[in-house]
Amino acid sequence: MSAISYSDVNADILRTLERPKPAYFLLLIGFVTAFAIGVISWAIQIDVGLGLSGISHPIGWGFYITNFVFWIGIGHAGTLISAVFFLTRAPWRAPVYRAAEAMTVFAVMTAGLFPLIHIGRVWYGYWLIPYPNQRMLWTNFKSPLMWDVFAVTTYLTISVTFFMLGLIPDLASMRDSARGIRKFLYSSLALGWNYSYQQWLHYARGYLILAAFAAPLVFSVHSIVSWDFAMAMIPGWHTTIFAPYFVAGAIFSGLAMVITIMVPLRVVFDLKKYVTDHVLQSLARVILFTSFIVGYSYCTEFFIAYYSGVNFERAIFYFRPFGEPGSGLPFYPEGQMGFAQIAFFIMFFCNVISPLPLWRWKVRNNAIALFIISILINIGMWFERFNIVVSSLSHDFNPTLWGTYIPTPVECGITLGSFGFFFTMFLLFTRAMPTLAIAEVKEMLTPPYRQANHDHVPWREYATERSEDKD
Amino acid sequence: MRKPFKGLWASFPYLDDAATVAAKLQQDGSDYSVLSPCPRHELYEAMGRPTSRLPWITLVFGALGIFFGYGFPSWTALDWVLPVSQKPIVGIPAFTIIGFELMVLLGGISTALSVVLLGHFELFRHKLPHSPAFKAYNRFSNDRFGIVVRCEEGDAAAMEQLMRQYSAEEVVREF
Repeated sequence: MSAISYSDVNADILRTLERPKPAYFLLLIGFVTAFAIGVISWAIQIDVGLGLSGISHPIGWGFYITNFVFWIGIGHAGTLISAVFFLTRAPWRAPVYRAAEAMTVFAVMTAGLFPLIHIGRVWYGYWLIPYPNQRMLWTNFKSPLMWDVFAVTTYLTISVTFFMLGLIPDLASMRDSARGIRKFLYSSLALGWNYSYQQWLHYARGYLILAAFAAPLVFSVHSIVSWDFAMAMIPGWHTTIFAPYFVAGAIFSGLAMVITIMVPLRVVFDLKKYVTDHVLQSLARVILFTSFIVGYSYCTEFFIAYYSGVNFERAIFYFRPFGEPGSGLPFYPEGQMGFAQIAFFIMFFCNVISPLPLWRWKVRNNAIALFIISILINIGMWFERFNIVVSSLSHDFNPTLWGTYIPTPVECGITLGSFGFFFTMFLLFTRAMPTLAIAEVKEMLTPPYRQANHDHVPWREYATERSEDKD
Repeated sequence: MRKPFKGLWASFPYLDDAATVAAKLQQDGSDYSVLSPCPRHELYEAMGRPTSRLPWITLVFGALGIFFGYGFPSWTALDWVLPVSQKPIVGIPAFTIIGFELMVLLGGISTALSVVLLGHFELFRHKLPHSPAFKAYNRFSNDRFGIVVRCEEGDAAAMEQLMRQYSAEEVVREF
């Protein structure tokens, strides 16, 4: 990137905001249609009632909670890249962090819809929030579901704050090059940013502190989501490995979604000199690492179920890959493979087997291969959530209460709609805001020096130290 | 009535020139501002490593978040006591999660707001030009470094000479 000048960065990144190609509008129509299907499905469910979904006894958490956990997981990559990799000074984060952060905001917004959809009577959604009411009855702060409300709302707020803070200098850049109504809008959003070093000083300090706050938040949010399950006494859920297992899975799926988005984005907007193969390779390395943690967690779950000696635990972990005990297993000669078993094998293949080619440099260096693997990982991680949520509930302690779950068209429509909502929001974002962080990309470049010898630092001859430094 | 800006401003194509001028102005005790398209450690060093009070604001609001995070659930638990087996009424481990989340929430929001507000307060102390020429010059967000010096008309010639000595591209006096 050393051959790129500061003005190139402005020109290249602001060019992405010009009128897009027709393919953009085709994609947008497709995603808006999917979103509309979701809205109509939800409207029908609100009108008819939650009975229209496949959620029933014993499986009270179906597609909606699966989608909630999946989208929260997707929302992990942005803050991981912008906060954790900022603190660890990973040099490849700058070109991808803006798009990843936008993705985080939209994914968490999507996730936040699902508890409201799931409760059925959405107009009572405000009951989730502790507020002074007639009899001063408060929410139960010892419940993991209450922790989740705090964790997700905090995560959404901090992600939006982080995203908006990072945007301020770039909005000022856009203000300086825009005209008319756009200039007015960007001026309002830039909040009076004027590039003076007094502002940069507070900005850099504030960004560092926010990163330090957001870094533990990345790990805490999915840990708390995992405790929605792990704090319950259900076989298959009640394990201590859930928090790290969920966090690794969230990073795994989130980074896969970053690749799914960045690979087409860098082609469409011609940003290959910024989002280089090295950047994608670095993402792929982290994906490979987290896939091993996820694979290891799968194995540990099975081992602990066996080693615990608890029959209920053993039964659920037998059921997930092989179906009902005593049905002529393991090769299903007497019956057919159920949906739960198909979900298990899709999960295992996509999350453990499909990332293995990333060991090879050639695969990591091939954007198309990365794109395909990233989509497989996203599919696998959705099925992992499904596998955890549904199969455990279907096989509780009492076999007379066992049941099956069949998703209805309304649930499928809302699930499709969630993808439509997420990608519609992202496409609109690419039209309105720079997808790469202008100021941060400039920080990565060699600055314009008059002296070719960068070791020659004339200002140091005159620089005065702070009073505390003198002592 | 707002006091008008008096002084001069200059743009520099090279970072080392701008940093050297900033270091000299800092050494002389001049009232100046530096403009830059992105934060650079060279400028930070040249300006004598200025500090920000922002971490203190974050600390106060983060501590407030912890206080509410533990205090509010404890109060609600004691306000309507619901004993469950032998579990403590005020469950500190369970409330730690609320404490952590509120610490991050209040600390994070106050930090972001402080970045914006402190940046604006700095403008009261370190005024920038309001002239159409300065407003129309939009390269500080692109590829130029800027130095703004607030001084009396009598000092302007010496300041301009300093800027020119370090290859200032454009020097504009505003009195």
